[in-house]
Amino acid sequence: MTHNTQAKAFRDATSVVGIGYSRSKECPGGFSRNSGESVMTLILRSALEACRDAGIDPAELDGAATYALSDSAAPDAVLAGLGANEINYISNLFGGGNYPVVTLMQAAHAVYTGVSKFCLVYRGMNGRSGSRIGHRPAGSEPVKAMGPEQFSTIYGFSGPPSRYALTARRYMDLFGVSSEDFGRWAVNSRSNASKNPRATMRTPITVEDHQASRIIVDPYHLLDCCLETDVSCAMVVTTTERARDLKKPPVSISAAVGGPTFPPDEIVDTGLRRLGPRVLAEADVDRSDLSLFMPYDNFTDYPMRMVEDMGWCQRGEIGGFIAEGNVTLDGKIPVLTQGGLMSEGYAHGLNNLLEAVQQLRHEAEDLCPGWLKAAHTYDRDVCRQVRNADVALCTGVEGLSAMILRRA
Amino acid sequence: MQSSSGGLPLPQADELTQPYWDAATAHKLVLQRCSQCRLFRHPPAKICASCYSEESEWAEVEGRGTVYSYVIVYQPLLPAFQSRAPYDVVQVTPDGAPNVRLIGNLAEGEPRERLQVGSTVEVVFDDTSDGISIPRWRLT
Repeated sequence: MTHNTQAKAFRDATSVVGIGYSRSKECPGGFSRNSGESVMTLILRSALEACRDAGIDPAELDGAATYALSDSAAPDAVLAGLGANEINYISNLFGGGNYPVVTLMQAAHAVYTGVSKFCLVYRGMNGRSGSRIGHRPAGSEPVKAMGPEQFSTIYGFSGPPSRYALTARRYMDLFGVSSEDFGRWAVNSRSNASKNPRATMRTPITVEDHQASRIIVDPYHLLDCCLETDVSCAMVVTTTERARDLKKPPVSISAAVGGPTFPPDEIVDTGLRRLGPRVLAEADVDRSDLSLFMPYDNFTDYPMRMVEDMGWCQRGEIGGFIAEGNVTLDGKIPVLTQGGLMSEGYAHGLNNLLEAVQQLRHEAEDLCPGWLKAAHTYDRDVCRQVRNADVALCTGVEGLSAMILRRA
Repeated sequence: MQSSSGGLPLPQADELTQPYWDAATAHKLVLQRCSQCRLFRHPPAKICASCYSEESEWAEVEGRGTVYSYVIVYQPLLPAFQSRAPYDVVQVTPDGAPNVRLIGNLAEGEPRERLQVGSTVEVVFDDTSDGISIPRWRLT
């Protein structure tokens, strides 16, 4: 089979049929700063909600896939905790921001090939109260820097803000993009989050607030950085054929491409320069067909460049593009409709994919009284549902993986 | 002068990286280069990612370069660096090895407000009390 024939056969053959968050009475949105629960409990709660949402018995799950860099719970243990005893597929990936897309892609492949009937995808972490990415427990700082770190840590270069700020600085200096432009992106995310009851940060902000927030690593202010939260997100994947008999409108996986790649020649370029055209072709959609864009937003500037690399505007023009209202809920390409990783919370990126599913079902969880019945007001004081949402583009970190989801 | 007793982490040289630090002690900047395809690589690695050869050599570079990017750290993740913040971190493309990007700092007292993407720099070596010399950069 040629690559194109394969892409066509895979196209929309599998669907996300259930989504769930680690909600509880104390934490109705699922995201918190201090869950007071084990990661396993968070994961089980999110998985149970995803199964209820799909209308399946958790014991029907026969596969599970996850990814982690630090704290997590293994897929076989999670399935056991759900009473799912007939396991046909597990995948426990070691990786970070590129893996929400990659892990969902693997689950879809497992379902597509018939290995698994109902595959759980999850990411649970006590990302604030437990193991914080980039941090070392107090007292465990190295006296000697070993391995590749002997060329970086010795200079005080350590952790995601420093690493990503290097790219941001080069982008600003070469293309004339300003910190205020970064701020405009953050303001838009927060505006969407203000209509998201799940969101950790819901108070609207201004560019002035962004500029006044403390500097973490110049050029990044606090409001350029994503949150750290305790949360688990889960999804159930099955064939689109089976999905049609289930509770919710299926959201099919039209195409999924990419994975970790060698650093590009120019760090300002995101993976979407290469993967964008490919994922559109494999899904057989045009860029103008996309209803929303859910890039991985660990820091403000990377998703901004992903918008540029998809060709919505040219390199360096994103500031004006945002200022003209193009990324708002009624704009040319609505982005991060629930506030993204910067305002909703951080489930290592998986929450951006769950949001795409909600949007494509027309069930964006907002302040409209009828949201769960897909009854939206489109009053932008309370409503964050994108009108007629039917195709979404989601990415992993730096645009190194990409996926198109569609209302089936 | 940086020292382990000062609390800042120092490099732990290993089999792969010892020649780099030995050269630094002699105030020379060397980089690992594939003996077969001549491609520079950094950090050092056993196998060339381009031609897969395991044969490599150490080549001295001139010690001049261009700032590829830079940041100013206000809130370090490593507690040992907190008292130094804010401080700069630069990423330098050394002349003669355009595919290499070295992380470093400007040398003590350098005017970091002059830092720009594209600034030209030259290497200087900070001798520590542990006998290790750390390459840093001076604006030219």
